[in-house]
Amino acid sequence: MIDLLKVEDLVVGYYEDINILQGVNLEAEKQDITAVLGPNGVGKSTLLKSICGFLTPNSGSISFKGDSISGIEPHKAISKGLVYLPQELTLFHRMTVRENLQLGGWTIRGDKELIEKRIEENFERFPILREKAGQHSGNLSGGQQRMVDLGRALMSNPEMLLVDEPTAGLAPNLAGEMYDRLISLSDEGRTILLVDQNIRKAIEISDYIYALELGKNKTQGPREEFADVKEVIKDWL
Amino acid sequence: MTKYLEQFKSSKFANPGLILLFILAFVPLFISDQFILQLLISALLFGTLAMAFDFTVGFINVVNFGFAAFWGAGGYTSALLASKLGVSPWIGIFAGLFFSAVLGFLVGLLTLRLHGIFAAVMAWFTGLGLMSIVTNWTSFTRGPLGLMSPMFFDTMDRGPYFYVVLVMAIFSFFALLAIANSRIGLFFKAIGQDEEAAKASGVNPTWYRVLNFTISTAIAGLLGGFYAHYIGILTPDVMKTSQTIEIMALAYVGGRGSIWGPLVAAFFFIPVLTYLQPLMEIRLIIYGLVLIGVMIFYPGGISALYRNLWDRVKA
Amino acid sequence: MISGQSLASLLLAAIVRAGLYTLTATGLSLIFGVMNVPNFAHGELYMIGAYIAVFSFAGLNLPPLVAILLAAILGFILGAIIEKSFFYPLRQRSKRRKIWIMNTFLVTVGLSLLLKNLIQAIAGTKYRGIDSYWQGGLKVAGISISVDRLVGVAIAAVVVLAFWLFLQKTTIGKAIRATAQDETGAKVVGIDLNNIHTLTFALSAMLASIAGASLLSLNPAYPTMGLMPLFSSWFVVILVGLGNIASIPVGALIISLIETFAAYSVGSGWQRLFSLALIIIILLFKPRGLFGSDVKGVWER
Repeated sequence: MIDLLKVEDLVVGYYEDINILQGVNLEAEKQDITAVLGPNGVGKSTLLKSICGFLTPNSGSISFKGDSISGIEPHKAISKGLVYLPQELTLFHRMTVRENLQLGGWTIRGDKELIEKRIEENFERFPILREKAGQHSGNLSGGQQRMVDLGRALMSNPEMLLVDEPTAGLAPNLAGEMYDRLISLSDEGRTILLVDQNIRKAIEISDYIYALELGKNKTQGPREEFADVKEVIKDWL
Repeated sequence: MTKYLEQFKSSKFANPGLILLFILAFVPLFISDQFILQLLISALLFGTLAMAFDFTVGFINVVNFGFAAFWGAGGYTSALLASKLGVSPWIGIFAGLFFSAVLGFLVGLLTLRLHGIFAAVMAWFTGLGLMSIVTNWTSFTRGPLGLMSPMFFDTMDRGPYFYVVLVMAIFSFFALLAIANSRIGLFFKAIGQDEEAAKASGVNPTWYRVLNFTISTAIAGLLGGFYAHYIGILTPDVMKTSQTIEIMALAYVGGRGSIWGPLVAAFFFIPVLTYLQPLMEIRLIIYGLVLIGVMIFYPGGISALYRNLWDRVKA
Repeated sequence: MISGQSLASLLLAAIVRAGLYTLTATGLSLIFGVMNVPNFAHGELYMIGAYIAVFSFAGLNLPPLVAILLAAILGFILGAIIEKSFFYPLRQRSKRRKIWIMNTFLVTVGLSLLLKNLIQAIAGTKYRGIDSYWQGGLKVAGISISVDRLVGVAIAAVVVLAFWLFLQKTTIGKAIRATAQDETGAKVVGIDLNNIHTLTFALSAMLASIAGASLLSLNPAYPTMGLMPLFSSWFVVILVGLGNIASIPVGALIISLIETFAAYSVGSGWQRLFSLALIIIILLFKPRGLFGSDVKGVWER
């Protein structure tokens, strides 16, 4: 199998001298769900932000489909098929659901038909959104907003999704629904890199797992090796 | 030698501003050229105003965009007392200080709930309001016709004026730095950086913000009084936004949060701008470009430059 | 008491003024909403529009509409140049969002000095006005209205309406609003913020420039003419809520009514005190403006 995403010796920091990531390595295989786990503050979100261009690495390399994307501008990452879903919702709260989806197709804005087709696909995926299409996204419930967020990300038909804490703040039943969505997206052939606090669930749905510790790799392996969750999180607590 | 350097460095008043003030104290002994004295007076006057401005922007992080109005208010108070009631300018300037402090206290209260640009705009609008009153209440202030104000001294010599403003500058310098380096200064900075966090750790932002405004505007009022009895005539133009901008520019270029930086900046900019006077507009074009350049490339200003150089010397 | 006739002409004057304020305040609010830049140089963009118009109309004898169009185009280009040469590098260099607003504020102060004195160096301090673009007047119910003012207001109305439709209906307009509502969200969907910022600043400069050009017969061109519209635009923008573009016409009408009637009843010197008092009260009790602000997080900065 070929690696869709390959991260080597990545060093990243917000300020000059303090590096959050201090040489992280990671590979994500096509169509897999790859989870990045670890306690708060080890740099999981920083890793996602660096991959999609929100942060510029100080050193190391990131390649996607064999091309280097280190320090890529965020709007270019998306045209390469890479889309990022931050933990905090970033919907355009004073715009309708439909407008949010439309803007999700910003990179294909010339092709009106394609945008309409993908909006339709999203309405089939999330029927509730069809009902709410004309409402301001800011007026939707938390679960519905997550749907718009995911729908908006899918508008560019990405090959790979970088998902940061997709179930933060969701009720358990809605969280379960979100994990099912991620699995079905993977079944559609999309690759997912998942950062999650819900370790048990993340391990359950992932194919391969990385554990980070203070900006460095700690352990990694396929799901089976992480079967004993208690053992994994023992030293995190 | 290094020992003295260390000692000097560790004092809280040790900075280029102090050296500058020290040298200035001897200037009139060697210089009698009235033009140069006038320049130095302007630099001290605006430098001190800029220190007082920095006391607010560099600490509680509020831009008092109506600053010139407080300066003007102090000047008008003293000038009106002198011309209407015959009060001595030496007493009037303290009345000006007091009146500006009261105004600053009130505006401090007005801007309390506001942050960033909202606080700046509020201070700006109250300043414009004051200017509007002074301009239009012609029966009292004579408005744009100008209010005559008696001079401090019966001489054309600028030397005595120089010492008056020098004393005010030295007083302001030590007072502001002493407060800035005390616990109160620490609270100011805490509020400026993160008001919520400061509140959580038991600092009462209300009281400290108002206190800060009051001190800063009191100094502005004092210098306003000086200006009135130095120039001899006041027009509402002293309260113009462009005056605030000049002071603000000195504070930013000098380096916010240092107190002394703005004073040093005044001694650099005011002579240069005065000597460039024949260039007319070009001079202000250069001024504009310098402001933009500093903000883009070196927002820390002169005091940050000094700190960096000093660190390099030590290393 | 005000007679019916003078009441009508006062109302008319207020409406003309409101048109002007709407044009300038919209651009001011837009730049703040999208880029978080409190623009102190906005009046200078208005002033440059007036100069472009007076030179192309009175100097080059171009038709009025062409002169105004030229002001719009050159204003747009100037805005783009300013954004690329000053705000773009500043944005690249500043990481801390908290100090961004006040730093850019000082940059715009420098910009204001720069533009004002540049024009003064080129054109001098002389007032350069025109009698009117269009001759003639109408008489409606006893009051005479000059065609020139009528067209001026019409231009303001058409431009504001067109601009509003552009923001609401086109994809690029939506991208501009999206950037104001959630900058991270805009990056997430692949909007290139650099382009949006340049476009926004250019559009804002264009609106100010059109305002200066289309009301040239009322306000002749001179280097410091930008100060009054700058004050008034800030009044309007604070009154309705910083970043709230849809409510600007209402705010502009309120401010211009107050100014016009105050000038009539207490004399033109005191008029500003009335709008100032109103704004101070608004800031005290409803600091986010009468109609609230769309801009996320700006309150804290």
